[in-house]
Amino acid sequence: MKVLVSTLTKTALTGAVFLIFYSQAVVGQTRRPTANTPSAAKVKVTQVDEVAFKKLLVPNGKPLLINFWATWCDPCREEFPDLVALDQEYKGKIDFLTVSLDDPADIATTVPKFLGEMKAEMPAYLLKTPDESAVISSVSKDWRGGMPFTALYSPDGKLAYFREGKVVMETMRAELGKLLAPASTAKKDELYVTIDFVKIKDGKRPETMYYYEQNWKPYREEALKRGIIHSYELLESVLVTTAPFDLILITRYSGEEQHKNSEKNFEPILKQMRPNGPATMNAVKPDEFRQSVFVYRGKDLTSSFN
Amino acid sequence: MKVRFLFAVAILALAGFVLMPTPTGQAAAGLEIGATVESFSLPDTDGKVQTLEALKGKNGTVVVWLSAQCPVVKAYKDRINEMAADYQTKGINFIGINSNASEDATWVKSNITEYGYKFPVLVDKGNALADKWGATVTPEVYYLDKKNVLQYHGAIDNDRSGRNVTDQFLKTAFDSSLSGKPIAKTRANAFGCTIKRVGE
Repeated sequence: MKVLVSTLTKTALTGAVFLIFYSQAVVGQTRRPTANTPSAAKVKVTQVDEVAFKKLLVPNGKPLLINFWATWCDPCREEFPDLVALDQEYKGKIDFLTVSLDDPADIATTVPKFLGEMKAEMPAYLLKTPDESAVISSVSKDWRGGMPFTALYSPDGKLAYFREGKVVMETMRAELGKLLAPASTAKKDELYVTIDFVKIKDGKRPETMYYYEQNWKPYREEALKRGIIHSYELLESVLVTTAPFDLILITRYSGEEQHKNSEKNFEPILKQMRPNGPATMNAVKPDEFRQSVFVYRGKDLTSSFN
Repeated sequence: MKVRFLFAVAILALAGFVLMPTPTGQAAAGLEIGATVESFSLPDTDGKVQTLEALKGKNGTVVVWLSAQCPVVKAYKDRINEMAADYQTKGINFIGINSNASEDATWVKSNITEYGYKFPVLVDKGNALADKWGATVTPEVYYLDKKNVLQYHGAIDNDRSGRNVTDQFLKTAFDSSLSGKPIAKTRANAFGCTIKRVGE
């Protein structure tokens, strides 16, 4: 234990860096555009190159939402009514702009025409660049270029959330809510947490990550939807190879009661999502590729530092 | 001891939040360059099960994610067909994969005829292979060497219209690899269509 404590303290104080793996809920809703279509001439679309584009990524004191789309992209067009609704809902609270990847030849025709039909009031840009790969990487290292793509930046310019594919309104509202809610109003002192420190055995990282991506995370996404947990995170130690663990799995609960009932609350989710037991990448069993070295259960101590 | 440990845990967790407040969103899991790919088996549009091992080329394999309805794939179809024909003679075989939940085998089959693909296109129902490899966009290519080691991943070239191509990422990777030289650019992205997954 002493060794573990020492390593943990050293790890923390030397500034261990972690990567967080994510997933999210899939619940959608759609709205149809209304009639009285404005003409294309009323909608202004500004062409930007990669230099001007990077300036767009800098928030101006508010959360910044950017949607990448194109008229040739069916799901992009399908989700646009939702984006327009989001813009109306959060007008004044966030900055929201759209970036079209259409052919520059369409900047005065099909692009503004569609935006006009949608009654979109967000500032509209069209990106023309010879180096799409650099632009894509500048938005998110996890983006391969699939559209639609929506990125949410916090007021200090950090990428807070992204979605490759059509936005899920509930999820987007929740992410916006996180940025808009003052930290002081969060009742962190009421949070309880389970932290599981996991060691990957024999270099079986693919099996381990597959296991958590396919089981642990989907379970928690469903738990979030059902309101039986507060939040979750999966952290990976990437720099400190001497640490006696490789992953930290954190699940937070809104209060002691929810924490105490977690096992009972998770049971129906596990039965529904994985009736035959957790998914594994291959024949290697969970005990053979990962080991839980320590589990902390109790109050979320991080709240006392805020 | 307990207090010190709890303090360490708290600091550790806090360090994660403060030092690197990272975004939430879809995971970036998938194959890394240099990873050896396990063989897979998927049905073709006639329901016949095909495997990577049976379809691979003697000098390498390109696995390309396709879509029957994506305009970007349509814009690339001639370039894909030309490269597939050209490099098949050099021992590199192409395998198409369709993981789109919105495109069934019948549609994929008619699309093969329409686009003139001369290489097998397999149907990844339930997007299991796309999930395993981390494929998210069409067209998206994975170039494997003869030992099934991933050499290049991403876009075919740097211009989806085909009018202003100045960097042929995939072709350059082929030529470097076949001549025994290191591949300068092993990853590149380009705008395309997001693969429609089940449940979305």
